Amino acid sequence: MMNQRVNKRIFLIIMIFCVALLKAQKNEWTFDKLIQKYQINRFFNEVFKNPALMSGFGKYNFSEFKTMYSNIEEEANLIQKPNQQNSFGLLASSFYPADSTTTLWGKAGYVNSNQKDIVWNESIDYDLIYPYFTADSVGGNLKNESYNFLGGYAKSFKKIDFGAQMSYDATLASRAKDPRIRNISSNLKLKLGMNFKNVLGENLGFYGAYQKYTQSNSISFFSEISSPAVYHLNGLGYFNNLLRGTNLEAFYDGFGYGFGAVSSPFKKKDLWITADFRKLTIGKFLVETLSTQISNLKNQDFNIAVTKVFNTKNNTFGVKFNYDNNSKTGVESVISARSGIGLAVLAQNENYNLKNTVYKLSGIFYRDKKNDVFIVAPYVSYQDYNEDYFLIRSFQYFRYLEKGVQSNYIRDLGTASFISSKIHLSYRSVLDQQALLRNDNEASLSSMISNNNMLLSSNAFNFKLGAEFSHNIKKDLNLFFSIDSDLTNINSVLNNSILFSTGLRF
Amino acid sequence: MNHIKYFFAAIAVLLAFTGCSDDPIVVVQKTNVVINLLDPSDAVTITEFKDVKITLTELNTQEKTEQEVTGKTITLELNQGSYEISVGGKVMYNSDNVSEEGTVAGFVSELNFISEEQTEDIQLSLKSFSNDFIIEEIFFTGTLTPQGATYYGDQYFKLYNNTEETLYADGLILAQSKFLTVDKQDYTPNVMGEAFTTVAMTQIPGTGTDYPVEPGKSIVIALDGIDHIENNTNSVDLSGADFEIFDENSGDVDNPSVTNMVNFYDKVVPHSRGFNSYVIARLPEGVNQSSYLADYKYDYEWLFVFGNFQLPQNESDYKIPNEWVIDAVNMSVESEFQWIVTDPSLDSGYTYCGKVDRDETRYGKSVRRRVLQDINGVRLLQDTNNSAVDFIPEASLSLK
Repeated sequence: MMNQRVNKRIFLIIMIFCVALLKAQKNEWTFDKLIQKYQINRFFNEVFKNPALMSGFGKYNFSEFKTMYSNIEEEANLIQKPNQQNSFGLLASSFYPADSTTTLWGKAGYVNSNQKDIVWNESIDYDLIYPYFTADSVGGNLKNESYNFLGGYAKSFKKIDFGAQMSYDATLASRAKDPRIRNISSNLKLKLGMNFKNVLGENLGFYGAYQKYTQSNSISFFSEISSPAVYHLNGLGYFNNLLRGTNLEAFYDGFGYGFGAVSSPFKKKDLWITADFRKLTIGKFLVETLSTQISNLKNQDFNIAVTKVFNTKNNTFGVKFNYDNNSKTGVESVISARSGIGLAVLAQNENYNLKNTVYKLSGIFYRDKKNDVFIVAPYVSYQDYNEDYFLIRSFQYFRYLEKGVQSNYIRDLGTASFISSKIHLSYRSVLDQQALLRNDNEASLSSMISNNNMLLSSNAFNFKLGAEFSHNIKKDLNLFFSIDSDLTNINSVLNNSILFSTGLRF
Repeated sequence: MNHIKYFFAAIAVLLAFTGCSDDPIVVVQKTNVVINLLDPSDAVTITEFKDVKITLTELNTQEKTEQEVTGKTITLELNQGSYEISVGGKVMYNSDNVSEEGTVAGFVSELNFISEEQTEDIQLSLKSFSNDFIIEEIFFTGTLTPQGATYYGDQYFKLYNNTEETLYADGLILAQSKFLTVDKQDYTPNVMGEAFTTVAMTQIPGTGTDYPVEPGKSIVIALDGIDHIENNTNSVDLSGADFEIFDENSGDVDNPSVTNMVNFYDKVVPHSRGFNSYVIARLPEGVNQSSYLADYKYDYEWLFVFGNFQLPQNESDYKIPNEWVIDAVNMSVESEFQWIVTDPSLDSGYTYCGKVDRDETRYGKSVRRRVLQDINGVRLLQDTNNSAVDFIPEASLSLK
């Protein structure tokens, strides 16, 4: 409780400082500033993973402070994720090209959310630690607070650019009735980059990244009479039987690194090739048994993007090819529990593997007239998803084809008012699927795996619609209201979400 | 042209990376295992395995491997892991140059196979069956009130005459284990092969023929022989119990119409989550309470270990020689089980109410011996000296 109050106070101080600093910049708010966040370089935004290249992100100061409220209903969702969520958030962000050679950017955000009906997952940061959750069959709702900070600096010289970026995310999750959860996670990322200009006619950028991640799980029961068993899950619904019961505290400790490269022609700037690699290894430890390591999860991402842009007199066209390969490898400990000295690790085996590969081809048509911008970006992607558990043979494989299109329209209404809208349509079809899943006397876990598999093997239609109206209440101050909705139809079940935002830009 | 060159270079990197990705076939290592089954003693040599099975359960996954035993050396290939091993079945053996048929058992709560090749010995014991009472049911969990509060005092033990003759319950001792099945320690000396270490004992009174029990009949020993339904509608009526355990020094309840047990040593109070084991025994001719308490205490040591911290412990407790034991039941909780606290010849397995500690579903349940047959109301109960198969775990109460 004390830590939460301190975190909130620190966050508010930083937010107030940011807003004051941002407000000190005197700029007129114009249509050109608004469309900066829709400009063509967002089509190849992979290049901005290198902080040294952030000077090309925009040429105008752009700062924003907004409040957000969202409600998400996802009845068709993975059992281990919430099927309902409402959130309130605050976000302050700024992009500030101080001069022709110096660029600063920063962000501070706070989100408070209530997540409902999460079962078989008493951990947080699903994407990072899946499948190694602490879990029980009861589950429930979670109160969740997250704090996010990001700051960066880039400096350009004649032959070389440098950049650095740091981000920190902290999340607290809790539940006030049995099973009582108290989870805290922190995620620190550092990046250093450089960009060499005109090396044999090419700009070559490189960056390195460091990541440190931790999460603590604590489950407690006020009832002295009884409590459900606590499980430490492995892949595809299996768990270590020796650890089932009363190991209530776990700790995840992760370390990661990454690097990337960008290549683009020095003169013409119409072709970008990026390659990024990132690895994060997270060990899970049981706290009550002298930090016995029970699993080790290696997350690995490898991405390549090739973008070519064609400029005509009035319009811009682009085509991009993405290759994204994400993999998870799980090494699990073989435990001895009956030696009389507590738990001991006898051996470690690589029992779990997940490989997710996406090939995506996308295009863009960009038309920028004086008072309006129109964008259409169709895409098609092929996804190959393979999840295996080897200790007790189990797997699920999927092949998907997704087709979609996104369109944006932004217009200057001429009375210091602006509107913008976006539509996104996509359809994911399942080309092929195979599965061998647990179906035994662990009825609840077998049912969870089966339900998750049914969801993943369903076609899905998605429709997003967003609209924003903004007006300059002063020359340098723009007030905006926006609404975004998202509908997804899976197996005749409609998931929907709505997001309201309002704030100020300057 | 340069652009195309770079594009193909990127594709080449992509293909090279994809080609170098690992095949996901690094799985569990195997161990070639040799198990030597050791004869029960120097005087007993097994000559033939007639119907013996070995069961190896990998404790992390609960995967079972079973194999028929045909000789004293067993070879098999197992996944590396931590195993619970039980052996049991009928054999022919030589004892004093006489060939006899018997039942053997072996039980090891944990053997770790982590090498490519590994050889281990398992000691077999000759099971002893007495023509006497057996433990039919143990109710130890207590009950919950309709309001959800715990209610204790309604626990009971039920003993059964599984023979064809009238037996006399006079002098029967019910003893509770000192050692817990959820806390394995290296006790020195380890007397388990010869005796059962006990923390409390209660005895049925009588002069020898005061309490006859006909074949197929039971007697109930209650913790408190009252009608507990009056206090808790989810409980049982024990006012008709044959005996009750009463200790006037502990604020206990005494029903004068239920015969009190003799407090032989301390007070038997069942562990409500089932961490103790129980035996019933008879004192041999010439041993009474006074002489037993004078002669059968022993000293032992063990080492308390927590991480790098170690503290030697010295204790003294009573032991009951295995030859006096007429039946034994090991009990535990599956998720916490470490070892059985009797010799395998008395009981080579365990039973339970609750698969995890503080299992919320355990209340109002008991462990009950399986019925092999029921002829004209006379039941024959299963007794192989293996509670894991002889008892129904988490059973409904017979007295409800």
